[in-house]
Amino acid sequence: MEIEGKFSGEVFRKEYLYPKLRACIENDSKLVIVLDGTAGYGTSFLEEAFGGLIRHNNLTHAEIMSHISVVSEEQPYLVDDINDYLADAEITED
Amino acid sequence: MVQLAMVTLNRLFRLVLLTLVIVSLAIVLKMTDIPHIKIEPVISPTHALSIVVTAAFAIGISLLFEPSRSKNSSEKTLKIERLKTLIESIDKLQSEIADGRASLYYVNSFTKGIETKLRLILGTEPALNKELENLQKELRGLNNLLTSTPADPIKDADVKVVKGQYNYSTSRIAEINHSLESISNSIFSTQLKINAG
Repeated sequence: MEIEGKFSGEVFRKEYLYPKLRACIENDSKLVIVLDGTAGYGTSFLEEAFGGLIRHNNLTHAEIMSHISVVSEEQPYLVDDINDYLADAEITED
Repeated sequence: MVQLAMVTLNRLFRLVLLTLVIVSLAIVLKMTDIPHIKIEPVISPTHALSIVVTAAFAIGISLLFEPSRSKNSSEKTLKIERLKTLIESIDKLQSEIADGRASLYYVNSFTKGIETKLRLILGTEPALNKELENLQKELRGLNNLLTSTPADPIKDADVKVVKGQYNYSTSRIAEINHSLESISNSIFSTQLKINAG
C-alpha cells in the first residue's frame, strides 16, 4: 500500500504516537493528544494512526484507553471517531 | 461603524429631501388654485411649531431605532454573502474531482475549512443551531467519502492514493457529488432562513 505522503497516519504513529504512548504506558502516565490547530484530517490518517496501534504495535484497547486522552475543541466528534477506530481495530484483531 | 454612520447620513438626507418635497408641494399648491384645497395665507406660530416638533420626533426616532435595524440587516447580508462563498468552494471541489483526482492537502483540509467558517457564521445564532448541526453531520459524511482509504490494499478501492493525490472510482465520484449537492442545498436553505429571520 502506498503511504499517503510524508505526513501519513502511519508515519505519525511510528515516529510520534507509538513511542510517546509506549513511554506513558511504562511510566503509568497519560498522553494528551490535542487535535486542534491543523488544516484537517483525512479519515484514513486517524484510522491508521490510532487503529494501527492495535493492528501493528500490538497494544490492547484497554492499554490505549487508559493512557491517552484525546482533545478536540474544533471538531469534538473526532474524539468519538478515534474511539470507534480503536474499537473496530480491537474487534478485527480478535 | 463607518457603515452605520453612512446609513444614518443616508436616512437624514432622505428626511431632508422629503421635507423639501413637502415644502415645494405646499408652494405649488399655494400658487395654483385647486378646488377644495385651501392654503392659509399666513401660517400661525402654533402650526409652525407643531410641524417642527413632528419633524424633530421623526428624526429622533429614525436616529434612535433605525441604526439597530440597519445593523441587523447588514449582519444578515454579510452572513448570506459569506455562505455564498462556501457554496462556491463546494462547486469548485465538485469540478476538481470531476476527473477523479484531487490533491491530498486540498481534500484533507476542505471539510474542516468549511466547518470552521460555518461555525463562525452560524454559531452565534441560536435559531440556526439545528442547521449548523445538520451541516456538520453532512460534512463528516463527506469527509469519510473523500478521505477513507482502505487499511489494507485493495486493487479496485473506491479511494486510493497515487502520487500524492486521491484517486476516486466512478461510483465514489457519484457519491461525493451527491453529498456535495446535498450540502449546497442545505446551505441555500440556511441562507433563506437567515433572509427571512
